[in-house]
Amino acid sequence: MTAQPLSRRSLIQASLAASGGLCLGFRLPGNAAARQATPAPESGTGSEPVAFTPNAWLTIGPDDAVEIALHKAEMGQGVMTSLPMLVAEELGADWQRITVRNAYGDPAYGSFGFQFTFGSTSVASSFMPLRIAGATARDMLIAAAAQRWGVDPATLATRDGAVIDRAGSRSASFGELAGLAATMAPPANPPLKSPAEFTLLGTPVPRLDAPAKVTGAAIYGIDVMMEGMLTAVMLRPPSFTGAVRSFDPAPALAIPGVRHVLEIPSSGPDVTGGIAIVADGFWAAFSGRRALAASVEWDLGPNAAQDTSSLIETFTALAMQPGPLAFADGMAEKAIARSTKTLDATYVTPFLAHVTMEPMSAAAWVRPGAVDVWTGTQGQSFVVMQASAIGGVAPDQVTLHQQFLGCGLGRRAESDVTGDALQISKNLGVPVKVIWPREEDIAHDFFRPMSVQRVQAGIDSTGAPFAWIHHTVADSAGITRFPTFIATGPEGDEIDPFQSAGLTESFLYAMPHRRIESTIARSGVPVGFWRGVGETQNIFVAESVMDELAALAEADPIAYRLANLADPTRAAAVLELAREKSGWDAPAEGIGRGVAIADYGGTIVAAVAEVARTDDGSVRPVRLVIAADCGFVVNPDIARQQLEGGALYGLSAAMGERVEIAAGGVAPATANLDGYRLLRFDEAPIVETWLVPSDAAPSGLGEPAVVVVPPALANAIYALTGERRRELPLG
Amino acid sequence: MVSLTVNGEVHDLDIPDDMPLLWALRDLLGLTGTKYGCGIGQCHACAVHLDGVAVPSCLMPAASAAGRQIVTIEGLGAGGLHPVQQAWLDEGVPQCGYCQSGQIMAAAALLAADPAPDDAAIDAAMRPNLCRCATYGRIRSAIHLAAKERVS
Repeated sequence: MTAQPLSRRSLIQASLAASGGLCLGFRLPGNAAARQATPAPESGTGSEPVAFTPNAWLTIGPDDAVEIALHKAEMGQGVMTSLPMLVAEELGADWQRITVRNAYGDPAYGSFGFQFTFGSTSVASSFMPLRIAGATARDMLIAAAAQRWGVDPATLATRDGAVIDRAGSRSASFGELAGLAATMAPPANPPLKSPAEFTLLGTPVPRLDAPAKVTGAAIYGIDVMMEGMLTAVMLRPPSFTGAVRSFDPAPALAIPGVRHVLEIPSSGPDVTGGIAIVADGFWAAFSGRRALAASVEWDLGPNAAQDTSSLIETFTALAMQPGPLAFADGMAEKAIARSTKTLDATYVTPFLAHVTMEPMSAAAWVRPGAVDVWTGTQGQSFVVMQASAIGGVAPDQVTLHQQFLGCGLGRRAESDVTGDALQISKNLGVPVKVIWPREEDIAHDFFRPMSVQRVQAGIDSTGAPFAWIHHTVADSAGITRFPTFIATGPEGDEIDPFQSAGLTESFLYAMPHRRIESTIARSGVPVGFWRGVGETQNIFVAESVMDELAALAEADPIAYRLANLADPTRAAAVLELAREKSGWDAPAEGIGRGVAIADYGGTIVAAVAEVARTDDGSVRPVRLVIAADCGFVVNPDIARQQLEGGALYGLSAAMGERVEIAAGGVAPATANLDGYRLLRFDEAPIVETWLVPSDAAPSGLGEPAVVVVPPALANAIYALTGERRRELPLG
Repeated sequence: MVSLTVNGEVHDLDIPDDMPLLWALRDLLGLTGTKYGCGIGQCHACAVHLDGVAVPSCLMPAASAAGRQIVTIEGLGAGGLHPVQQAWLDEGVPQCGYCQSGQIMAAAALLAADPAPDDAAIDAAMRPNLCRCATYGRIRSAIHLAAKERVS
């Protein structure tokens, strides 16, 4: 089958395939699912019961069911509900008749040429295309009804899954009109509703995935089962640069249920090879792994002496030197000397693991001419390219069966575990599910990079920020695995923009002299994208330093920020909202309050943290107030979920999370949940969330709250104790 | 041979002595609503009811649960949603959802023992259950709601 773009007309013809009420959904030639589609009949008279698929996003069956394609990974952020709402609103659908299927492979689904779920962008990037998709279908249904009734389409509208006569005299359900609608010409520019006309968007529609998630029925990658499937666990070297030297499979094979012990090569940069123990089920495989561990001899590789303190020492030495220029405004070096008061502070943020609640897992079946992958992935296109390469088949011979993701957090943008499943299945010729034991999941994560950041800053005689030199030192995921992310700095240096994220164009404050340097450390520790990415370190530092400058200027932290915003248009309202809702101006006995604000991908978000001393003298967070302006809010309840969860995810990192590096790998003490400290139920403070009403184009909410809570917390600790905390975690 | 009573049904399983209950439920009985999270009893994504008490199933050998009443998320609501599951929907608790089976089992066991728990009792009962989406605030609200619904 060849991959070639189809005209809109032929798409509609192809859609006639799904006839007789059997709603198969839309498939494009060029992706694997196309092989499952029935050949399209070349005619459609408009009278037989057929499904109507005006575009890649939806299919309307003769039974009135509306099936909407979900092209983003549902990983908790609610896209399975919020994205179909966009289609359904413009369509005028009956929400009770909406079903959602995971979709892969149409170019319409891509971002930058890839189908990929990342960076809190799903709603923002889908807001117009999905509404246009719904409006297109609506106009074609209206055109069909107008033809059938012999009336002017302008006299008709859609509501609750039917085309109605505005006079109220006639109606026909979408299903009745589907066949005829499929023969109508798609409109060039279907009109979209104004926000005042919305009936679905902006309302707290309950999540479509919630019922399955309270009954245990929701299927994640780890739950996939099929006839003849084996289960594998991996044993990888204890160090990041390690490799297998030798092993004896006999002790593992002696465990009942263990079928195979295979050495698996690396599936890509920053991924070690390892040994797969393949068995009838997880427990046998895991028992085999324990038995095997004693018999393996590892080559620990060149970085076997690396540990956290040696890395901090190396990074700090680099931070003290001038670094590659990422951004410059004014003459910062000279301006520091001319400042009225200055500070010179070094901040440290640790390596962090993702710890998705569902450990890494994937199933694959590689056979001649066809590869199937069952997993929950943020990187749909990457998995298909990988399956094609490992399976030795064309991309259109790969079928990706997307499952629910037991958290994504950036970890499921990677394709190391699918690489394991594909390689093992290719070796054995049977379906294989790989489950990484939690210890493996943390030890071989792609961590949030550790960073050492030095800031030299000064204020002028009025107290306003005057000069700021900021040098970040950290590892880069781009430099080894995503070279397209690497940019060239103003002086021609290799720059990873994630490493200076939040400090360059999106920095919120005005000051005449600013210089941002970033050094790619190249420590060899595998790093990746962790919910909030570069801003989770950089905003912690920048908003802590703003607090330090406010203290130097003897100013109130919120007033100081308000006075020095480069563009107060939206940021001032967010700060004022946080001030009002937190009761900032009414001091509370024994409570310290700290603030932080950031622009994350166009969403302006602020946090006020409150801390109090406990009976044992320690400091604990007692309340978080989050204010955000993310433009138009598609589903306010899902929006609040993201702010609440994001705030506590940031708090978890700020309070207790830290991966300890020892002997060139993760120290066993932090390789499971006894030593890698996640925020627990009784440690979670109250979270209050407030959204600025707006009809502007939406921006994301999955990550913004994550980045402002750590600095707000550190600033609150300073307010309560007078102690400036410059190293995470704080707990 | 180990005889397990799960959701009211008896299953005779030929499994090794050390196989945790979690893997007997998931891999042999296909009850995948009970989740693996850490294998060391630190996250309670694998919580099930053993004679009405919420316990992590990842550490307990299945053999030691023989003859006892085991209830999983699939067996919680007899013919419908348990009040805790309904409260979870009413409060909009789940995000990724992976840990929620364990959370719901813990909350249901708490309410069975203490029909009107205060915040301290909820803290104590729910502390073992980790949620990476940090749905903790809504879990607390949902437990209070389920308690209220039961009383009224």
